[in-house]
Amino acid sequence: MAADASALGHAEAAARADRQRKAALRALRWLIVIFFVFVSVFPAIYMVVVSLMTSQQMFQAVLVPWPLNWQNYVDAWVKAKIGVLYWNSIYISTTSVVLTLLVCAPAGYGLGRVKFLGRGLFFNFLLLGLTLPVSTSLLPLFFNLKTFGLMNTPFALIGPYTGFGISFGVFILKGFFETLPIEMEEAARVDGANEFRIFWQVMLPLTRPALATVSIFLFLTNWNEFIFALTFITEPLMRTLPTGIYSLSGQEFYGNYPTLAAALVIFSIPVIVLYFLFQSQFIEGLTAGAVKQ
Amino acid sequence: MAKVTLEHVTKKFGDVIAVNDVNIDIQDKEFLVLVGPSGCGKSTTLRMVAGLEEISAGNVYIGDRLVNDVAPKDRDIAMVFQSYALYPHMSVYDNLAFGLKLRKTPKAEIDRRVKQAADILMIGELLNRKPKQLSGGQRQRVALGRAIVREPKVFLMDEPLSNLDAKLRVATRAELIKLHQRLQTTIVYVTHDQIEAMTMGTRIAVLKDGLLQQLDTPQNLYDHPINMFVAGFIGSPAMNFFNVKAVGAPPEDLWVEGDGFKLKLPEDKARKLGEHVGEDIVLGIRPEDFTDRAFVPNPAPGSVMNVHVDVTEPMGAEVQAYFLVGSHSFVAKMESRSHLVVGGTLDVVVDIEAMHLFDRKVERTIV
Repeated sequence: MAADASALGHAEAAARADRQRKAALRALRWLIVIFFVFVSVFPAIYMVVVSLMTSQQMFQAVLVPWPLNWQNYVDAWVKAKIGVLYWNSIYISTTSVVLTLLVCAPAGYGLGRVKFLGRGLFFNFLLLGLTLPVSTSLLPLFFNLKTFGLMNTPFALIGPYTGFGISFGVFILKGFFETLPIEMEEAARVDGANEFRIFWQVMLPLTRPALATVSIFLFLTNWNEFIFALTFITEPLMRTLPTGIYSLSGQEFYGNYPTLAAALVIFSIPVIVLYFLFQSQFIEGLTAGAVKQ
Repeated sequence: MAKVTLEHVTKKFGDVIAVNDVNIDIQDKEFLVLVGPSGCGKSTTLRMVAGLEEISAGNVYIGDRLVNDVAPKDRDIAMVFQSYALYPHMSVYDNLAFGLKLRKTPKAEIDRRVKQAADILMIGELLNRKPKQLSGGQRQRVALGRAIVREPKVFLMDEPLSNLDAKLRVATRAELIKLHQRLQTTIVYVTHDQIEAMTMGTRIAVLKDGLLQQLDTPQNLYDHPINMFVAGFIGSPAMNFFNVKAVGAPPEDLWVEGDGFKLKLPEDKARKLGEHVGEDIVLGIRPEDFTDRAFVPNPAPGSVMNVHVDVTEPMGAEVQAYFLVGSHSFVAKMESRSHLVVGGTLDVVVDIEAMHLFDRKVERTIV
């Protein structure tokens, strides 16, 4: 009996030790996660906090500003003319994305679902675009744009942005088109759809998750793009936000960090909105229910 | 409404011959089933009729029109796919209406036909749903509906029931038979399931390795299979085959002798056996042609086999029994009251009139 009881005690102690070890491991895991979340999120939070301070508060290292100083946003928008740059950025980024998709969707469909001679070669050639560093094309583009008199026009950015997005867009969309079930295409064909209708009415709507992914990725790339914007646009009111804010950091924003932070928050808003808007599109498989898997 | 004719139809994929010189005359309003094991070319054959697969050689006619080079949409056919292939971004209504819209059918007419098809298939209340909100059985109905609204000359169905669970499959099978009676349309139906083929088909075409083995009514396929493949493929459980020799004096006293048993051939069969006497032949007996000796007061002479009972599987109405005789193992469908003792022996009576004999070399039916 005594031996039994002690054996039981041992087993219990071992189980308790095991539980404690697991709890400690779990705590450690959480600590690591929290640390990295903090490191990645803190600058953004600090940016928002600073944007609501007065300069004085900032230099006093206040962490929670009160009262909130919304004037920074008004200053950034009106005095620093962020409003104008904002429109430039939206207009240029969006137009480029739309143009890229107009090329990529049919190209991805063709490369993904239509068999033709040289398809592989053509696709590989397109993929070369992914490996090309953007800066290598800076000089040729500069001279071309200058020759055609397109410097300081929206097209100076829309053209290159559209072109550089194509490789990526085709790559993603081709891959997605390939995964769509062939029966759907055949069903449409028997139903009487021609090649264009199959693409436009049946297959393209199914690629919405991929279109969303490509759009967001390209929009963000264009939105944040710096080198081309800096080189091809020198007129202050033609600039996009990244170069605009950059060039203002020596003037309007000089020493006025809260207004700069407010400008940066405004700059980040579309990015965040886009992400939350299309998040579900990334995840949702639109083909769910179409074909019994 | 139209007949469909396949004339020396061949399909090659590179060096592989998927369908080899197939000739089938499908009558108007017929329910023709293409059946065979996977890879036998049945789906490819159907797809050639649909126009989704090019024909390597031969001709396909729908009605009297040669359709070899006619696009699927112009063949006046509708197809139901195994995976349903519904358009996931469209509502059920739009799925049904899509084909009609493409054909510029007037709106009122589209509405009438969609509602009518929905009534037939009892999916009226689902018209506003998306495919992913439907169960498997409902999706299957929508897929059928998409074919029905088109009012085509020919329905092509590629294993439309194989994604349904067993119970639903049986129910839908009966509904498809009713649907065929109601629509009075030619249906070409592909399946690998011989029960589906037997229950639904007006006629059945059995394919193997791209070759048409036999084309006949279900009962004829069952009663008079042309070779060992068809004999083994049609019927469940499959026909039992025994290697035997024909010995004795035809026609009155001819016997087939296998390992551990000897059965007398009826005179008419003995006569037809002719020159095969003394050769190695194959005896085929269907599982349902065995009966417990106790239930047969006067068995025909030479029709009793003494077997060893190996395994029994009671099914309620009947017992599926696995017997051993000599080196042969075979299956029999016995009445549930049969005196089956596992490990014991039993006298069973064979319906010798229903026996099949095959040439062992070419596997063709002799009798």
